[in-house]
Amino acid sequence: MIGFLFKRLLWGLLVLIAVAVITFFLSRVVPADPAAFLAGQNASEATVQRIRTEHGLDRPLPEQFASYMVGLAKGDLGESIRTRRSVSTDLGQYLPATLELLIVSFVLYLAISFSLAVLAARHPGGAVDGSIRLITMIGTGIPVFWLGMTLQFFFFYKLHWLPLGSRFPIRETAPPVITGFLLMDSMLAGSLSAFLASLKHLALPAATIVINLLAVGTRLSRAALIQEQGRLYVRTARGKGLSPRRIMFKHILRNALSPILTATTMQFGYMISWVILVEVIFDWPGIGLYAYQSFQVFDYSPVIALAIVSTAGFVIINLVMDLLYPVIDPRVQSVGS
Amino acid sequence: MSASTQPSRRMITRPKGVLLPLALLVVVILAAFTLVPGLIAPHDPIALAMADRLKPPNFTHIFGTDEGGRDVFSRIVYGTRYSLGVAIVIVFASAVFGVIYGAVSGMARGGIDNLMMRVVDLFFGFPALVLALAVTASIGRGLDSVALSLAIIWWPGYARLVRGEVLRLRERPHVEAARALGVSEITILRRHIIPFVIQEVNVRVTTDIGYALVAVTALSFLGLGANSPTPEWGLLIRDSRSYFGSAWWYLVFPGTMIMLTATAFSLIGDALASRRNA
Amino acid sequence: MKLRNGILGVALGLLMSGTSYAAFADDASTFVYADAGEPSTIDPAKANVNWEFTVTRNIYDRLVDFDLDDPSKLLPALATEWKQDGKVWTFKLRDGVTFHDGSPFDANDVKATLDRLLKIGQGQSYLVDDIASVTVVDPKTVKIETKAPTVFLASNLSRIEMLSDEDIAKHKDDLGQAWFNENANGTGPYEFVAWTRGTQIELKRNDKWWGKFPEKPFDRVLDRFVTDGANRARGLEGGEFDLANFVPLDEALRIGTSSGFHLVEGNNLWAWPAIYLNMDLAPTNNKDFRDALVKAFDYTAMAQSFQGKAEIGRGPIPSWFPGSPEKEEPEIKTDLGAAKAALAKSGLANAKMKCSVPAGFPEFRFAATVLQSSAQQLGVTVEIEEQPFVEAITAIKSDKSNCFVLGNANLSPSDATKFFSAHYLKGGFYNSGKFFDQTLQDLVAKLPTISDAAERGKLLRQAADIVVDSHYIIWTARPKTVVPEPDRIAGYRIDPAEYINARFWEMHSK
Repeated sequence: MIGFLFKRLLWGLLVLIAVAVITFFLSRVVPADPAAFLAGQNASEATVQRIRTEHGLDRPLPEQFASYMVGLAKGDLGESIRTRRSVSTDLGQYLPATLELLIVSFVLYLAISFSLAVLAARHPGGAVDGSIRLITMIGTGIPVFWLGMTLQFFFFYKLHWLPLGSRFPIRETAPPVITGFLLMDSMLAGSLSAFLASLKHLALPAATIVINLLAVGTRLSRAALIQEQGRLYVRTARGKGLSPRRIMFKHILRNALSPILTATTMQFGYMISWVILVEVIFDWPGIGLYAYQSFQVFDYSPVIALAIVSTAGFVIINLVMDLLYPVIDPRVQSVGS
Repeated sequence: MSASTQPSRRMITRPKGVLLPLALLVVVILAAFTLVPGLIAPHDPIALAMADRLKPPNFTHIFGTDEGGRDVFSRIVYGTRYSLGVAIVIVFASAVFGVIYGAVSGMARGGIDNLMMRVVDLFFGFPALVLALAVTASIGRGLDSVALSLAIIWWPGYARLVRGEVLRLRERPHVEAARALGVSEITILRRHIIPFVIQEVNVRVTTDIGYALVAVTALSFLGLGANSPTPEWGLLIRDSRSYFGSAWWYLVFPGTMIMLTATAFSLIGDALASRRNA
Repeated sequence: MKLRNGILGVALGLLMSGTSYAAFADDASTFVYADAGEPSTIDPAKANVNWEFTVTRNIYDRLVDFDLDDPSKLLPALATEWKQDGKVWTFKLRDGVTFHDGSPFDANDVKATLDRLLKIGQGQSYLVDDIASVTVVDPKTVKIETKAPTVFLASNLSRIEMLSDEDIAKHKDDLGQAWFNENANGTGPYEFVAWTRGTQIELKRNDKWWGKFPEKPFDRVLDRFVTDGANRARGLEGGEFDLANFVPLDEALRIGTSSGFHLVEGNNLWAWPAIYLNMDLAPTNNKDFRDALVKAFDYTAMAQSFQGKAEIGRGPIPSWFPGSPEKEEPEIKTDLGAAKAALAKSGLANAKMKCSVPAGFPEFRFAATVLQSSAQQLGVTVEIEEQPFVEAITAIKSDKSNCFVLGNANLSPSDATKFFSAHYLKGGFYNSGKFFDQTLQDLVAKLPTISDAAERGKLLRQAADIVVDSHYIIWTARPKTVVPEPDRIAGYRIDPAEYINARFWEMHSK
């Protein structure tokens, strides 16, 4: 068990280093000069040169790389040229926004795809099943940016039900930052109205992500449910006269959960990409928007940091999943044994 | 599986009875758009016609016009070649590479297999968009860099799928028997494994074309893909954003095309899958 | 079940506990401005894009102000009177002005600010880089000596924000760069409150300001960072924002003419797309080829894309700029016959060229599209690449591209030479196509030293002609800037030298 964990962690570390190396070199081939941005448009060539030296941009690439990797080993993700702050500070600011959006979307995604799957699996091949399949399929076929814009158009522009973007009503004062998660912070500040306002702001971005992912989750859950329904223990339980509800919640769901979790962890990289788009469209101040804006001015460090952070997230989630399977589904043998 | 859970063929085909032919029709239309756009598009997709600037849909311009007075329908027709074309290239390139990689990994087993699959994991964790940002930064904006970056993140899916299939098929009695008779690994792969794997891959390829299309348009939307005045669908949506409130048609039609196309390919992939399982 | 109830109970308990925090205050006097980007710095010595000026212009004051309706007319601000005597300018400073932290404003602040600005050498320092020395005469008098006599010093100082010498002294290690990047202490109409990264900068009204606010001014201003133009338009129309920067023209016209809104129109350089041609890279290094492009360009199409709210320029200096020679200059018109002749003369039939366009501006993209379609008629192929600004300008500067599209900003309200030095002189940042002409260099150096306005006008005309005759630039149609303002507010005016200046101190509710 310990050996297994160690191996996985070691591999995870290797993956992270590989990602850092790849993104570092890819991003430095760019023919643009971040110092020119930093110096401003009317600075003299001498000033630009001075800034280049200050930021080490005139050093040879291998040297820049070495110092970057040394910094990385110490947990230093570099400086952002655009925000003029350390990337770690910026991430501390923007990561909670992204995590909040991801977590809410993920929970909604699991709940909705599961409910749809339960409906669909009740009469496989029936009209409900067919419609659910078609609708989720269309949801996946809609480009996420277009879906986001369409939702904004109806729910903000036409109906005035939901806000256009951002995390909190503009004219109001957000609750004091404690966790960085607005839903939590609103609760900690004891404000129900702030909590509801944050939820309203989450609605459209989360819906955009969920609608796009729904097809995969629903399809997998449905298949797993149908398979579980046919198993002996379910029939035994049914024979014993347990209520269908109880059978569903106590037995089937539990057993059908693991394939879905596996699939969704594999979708993580996909989800991060969609989150960037969603953040751009909804002006959501998270790491996606942060990295995208930095990219626009050839501020490399945030882009590399996003790659590292999201890969790390992926590695950790997979590791946790490996450890959790035996808990969720006792039929799976404990890993490493 | 017991009778109660095996969905009846009749029930499964019923909703698809209408949908599948519709999906096929969409694909035929898209093929025509791609192959002979000149015969279908009523107007030049590139030439400016300022007098017709931002006109709503009418009899001459069924999808309206854009900021240069160009016919949105004609631009969509000509754009099929770029959007769908690149999506198909990405999926095929990834499938070919992924199949070879996955087959080798599955046949090799042991340490090599393990290592090869770890490499696959690496790509799985890599956020597609970040990779695309980095690739376009280094080789410039264009559909070629879109194709490259998406292919890089797309192939691992196939590699993993194929490896799984190979491992499963190798354990089948007839393969074991062939091996016992001294048939070479290459022949086993070619005769007994690849043909079955290909069936599985076909389903995946069909569905993936739709997803790849969505991804291509997403990158163009962010300004990483096609360049003006290429009528690429994602770029149309990007450009239309400045006229959102004034010209809904400019935004709505390209988006609808992407949605229809992706859904059509998903439906066909679905049909292929259920036919194979039947 | 018990656990779940417990959690719910705690959550509800927290929600009901009611701390001092109140999210929903009365907000009638809050003004929300949707800006196109987040500042990289709010240091007035470095600020150089609109969304940085939004903050610096409102927090700090300048020595002089100028009349937005007549930029050649200067108005008193921190200085109440000034005079030029050859190379020496003397400014008398206003009494009783204090910084937001309570410290008084005097001549030492002016000296410290200018010294620091010139040492840093970024942002707007180019406007006053002809200053040789600053001398404190007494607390209320400051003398500024320039390297050569210049008539434009006061006018250019109307852009230079005054900091406190105490702040500069307190953070002198790095010239205060780290501190001023994200802190601000000015004498201006609004005080810096907080910067929520990624979201907004909050300002509050300085009721001790020396100037005069209109009736019903805004007590609190939120400068929101809304990077997407469509979102700015949508939010303005939907009432989330009170005013927005860079709203796409079609949307601005539509919103401004819809009920509940009115249009504010004005002259402005920024939105005027100019196509720069690379003087060093084939085929645009050929003068006849450039001539062919200038004559082939479809100016009418461009004007139509501005819905007719545009005129076609005749040279680098728009007619409304103080001392502009534009009215005497010959018209520039599309003439396909002459264009074909020029192309034949160049011997570059079927040439191919590449154009780099800064992404995010529909007008710029469209200017390139029009060039592409016009060049097509000559048999010339233009390939367009939309790139982030820095990448696009680097492409043409490093000879990877033949052309570049940019608005022609000049922050100086009345000094045309600053405009020339940024765009047409050697080393100018916007001189992306690397234009060089010795006569022009000499003319521009000489212009500020001439005190006779008529004489200056003559030289300006010569300078403009040199640029026009070189066919370095295609001046596409020059639009009126239109800004939709909700009927519930008033006071917005367009600054001709910046795309949008939000002078929060002039805005008020009705």
